[in-house]
Amino acid sequence: MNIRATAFGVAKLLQILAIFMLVPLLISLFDHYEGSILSALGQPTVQVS
Amino acid sequence: MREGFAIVTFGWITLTFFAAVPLYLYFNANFDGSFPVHFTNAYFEMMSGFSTTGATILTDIESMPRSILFWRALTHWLGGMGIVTLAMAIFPALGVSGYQMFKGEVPGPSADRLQPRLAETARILWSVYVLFTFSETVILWLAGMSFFDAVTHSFATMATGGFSTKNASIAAFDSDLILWTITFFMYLAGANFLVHFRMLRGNFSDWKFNAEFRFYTGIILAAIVLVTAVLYINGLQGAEEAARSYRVSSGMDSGELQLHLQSEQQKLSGLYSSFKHASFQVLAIVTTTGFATADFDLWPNILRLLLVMLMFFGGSAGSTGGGMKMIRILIIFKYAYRELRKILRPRLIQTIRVSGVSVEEKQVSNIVGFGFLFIMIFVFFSFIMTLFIPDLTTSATAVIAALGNIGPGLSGVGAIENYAWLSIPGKWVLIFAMLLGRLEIFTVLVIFRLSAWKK
Repeated sequence: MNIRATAFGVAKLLQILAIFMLVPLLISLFDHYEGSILSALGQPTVQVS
Repeated sequence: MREGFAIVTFGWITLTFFAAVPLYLYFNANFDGSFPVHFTNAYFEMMSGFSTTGATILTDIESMPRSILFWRALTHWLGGMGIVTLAMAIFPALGVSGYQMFKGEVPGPSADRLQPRLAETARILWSVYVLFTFSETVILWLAGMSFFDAVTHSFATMATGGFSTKNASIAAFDSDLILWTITFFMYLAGANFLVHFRMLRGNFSDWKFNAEFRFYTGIILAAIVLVTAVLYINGLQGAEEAARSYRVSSGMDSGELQLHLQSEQQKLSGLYSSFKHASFQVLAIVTTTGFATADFDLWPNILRLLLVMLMFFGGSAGSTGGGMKMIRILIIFKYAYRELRKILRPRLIQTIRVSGVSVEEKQVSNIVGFGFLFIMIFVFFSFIMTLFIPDLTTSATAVIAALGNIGPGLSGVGAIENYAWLSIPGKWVLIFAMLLGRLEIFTVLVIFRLSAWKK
């Protein structure tokens, strides 16, 4: 079994995973800065007291 | 040539590790004392996601942020059709044996291909997968789910995973339209995607001539009829006694158990309700999705046993389902029948035929060997699990729920339970069982042979 070829294949798979990991990261950022983003877009934000 | 299997196995182990890191960081930062913060928990959750098992260690799913819930659903979706298959569709030239990788990840005894080029077949599989996921998302959204829930539940359904964004799973939505939509898409997800592709192209002959598709549909219909009849006639009579021992031990007192029983009994009042929940649970178990609309652990023992039996069957080859796969079960039945006939007529020479085509003896012995190995691993892992779980039903069904990539088992790991309470070594046993089940045993075991590493 060729270890170098195996490592190369696994690295390719990790590349794909890294791309998909961006989606939850963006969701997390959006949830964190939702208020600022919506107000920057001119949308009303809900105030919870 | 053997690198294909190594890439798939090590790829899955490594991907799961990196996927678990954000979850582990979140657990550490937001620890509320409900379960021990340990990397094993994050790894278990992610292996459960990628392998489309759907077994969770989360005790309060609804308290999780949307990013974590989406990540769990996305791991289902990537693992369902296979991230290696996706890589082959996107990067056709990975530089190693493509067929081995394809065979190593796509469920079923033989990796069928529609096109001479594997990358083309991988692209077809993923196209159908994306199309069905999109369609389900739109329908669930129109049926009343929020867009976020519609996307995450479509991911979980089409991958036959079972992670929900709600503590009560699909029961939380209390909508017949949502229930039937998910039932229908679970049925599609458990069938061969190449069959779907041919049907989408207008070739409906598989309905008539594909033996596995007919067997899959026949088993589902027979199970639904039986479960509906028993639920309608018997209801949940006798469930209280059976449930008391493990429910109380899992933190439910007598009063809570009584209320729970009443609510489950109400769910099954009338023929339509029995049919509805029977259809949903049979599909959720056969396709190895593992969603729940009812606590099937309270159902009569004959049905609990039937559901456990269906866990071994699993979906079709070329689907996203787990288990042993319908085609293997069909061929093992035919093999057993042939051997029975041979006892009476020793000179009989008969090939096993599926969909009118003879199956090579080499493939028949591969399938029988797989079946034997599957059962042996189930027995061996169940023995090991009895060291960590005192209840035999819980330990055996936890193993088949992991090995078959189903999710819920019975008793302590039943439909309304979770895996948070399980010890760390016990979780690692199940993690390995999930990997073995998803990559269909041979792909993983072959790399443990020393001869595979010799040049």
